[in-house]
Amino acid sequence: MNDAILTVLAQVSEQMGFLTPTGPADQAPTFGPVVQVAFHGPAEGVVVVAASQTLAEALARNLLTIDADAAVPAEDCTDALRELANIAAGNLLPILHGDGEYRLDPPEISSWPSLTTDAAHLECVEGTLSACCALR
Amino acid sequence: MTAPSGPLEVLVVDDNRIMRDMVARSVGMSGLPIAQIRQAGDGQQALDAVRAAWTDLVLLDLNMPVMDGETFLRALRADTALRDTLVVVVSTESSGARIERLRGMQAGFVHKPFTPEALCAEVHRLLGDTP
Repeated sequence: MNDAILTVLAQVSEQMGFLTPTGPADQAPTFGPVVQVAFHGPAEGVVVVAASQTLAEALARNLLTIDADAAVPAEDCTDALRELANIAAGNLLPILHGDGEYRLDPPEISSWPSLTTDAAHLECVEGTLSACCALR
Repeated sequence: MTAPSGPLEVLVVDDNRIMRDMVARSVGMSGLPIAQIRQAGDGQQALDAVRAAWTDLVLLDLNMPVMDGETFLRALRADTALRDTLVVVVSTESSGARIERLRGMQAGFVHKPFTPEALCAEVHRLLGDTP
């Protein structure tokens, strides 16, 4: 499962976020935005995605074409991560829990769960990106 | 479904403003003749927008609050004045059954994450063009 999460994170961060994945990381970022996407359908639960602050800022810069020397508002970082989490969740669910019609709730600000077994951490040139999937 | 003859009036529908901007930028770079690109944040806003002003092409997300994309598409196809509007769904959806249902409502489909080239190719396909 963790390999599948890592693969999807790498694909989405590269294709949608224009980030540069370099390989697995050891742990979730300790400082940066976290969002969760609740899903309903053949399985019910949440996908949680966390980004280091540097990665969240790079993501927002790339998606919003913000100048390199301009400050990135926190809201832009969170909104950029929301969209990345939404796409990651949509791509992960059929892999983790089988094909079917899933309904995704709008991504919400969250916190990284203290106990996670099904999690993957991706190192990118821009920082760290983590995701986990928990069933309800 | 008939291809528009002049520059396209485009409506981008997504609840995330960043994705709306990305889709708008992609279609803006497509080489398609664009008259205007408008945006809506959910299906209900989109329905209001297509009823208020002529729209040639709708680029549509599925998972949205208030009214989702599939409900919007069904309402659009049921409206005799709007039923021929071109629609491309831009979504993370992977369910084959749901994608077939959308195609059955004459919608194109582009999977997120998408490349601008994939989006443009699907728009051209719907328009009956060779990109």
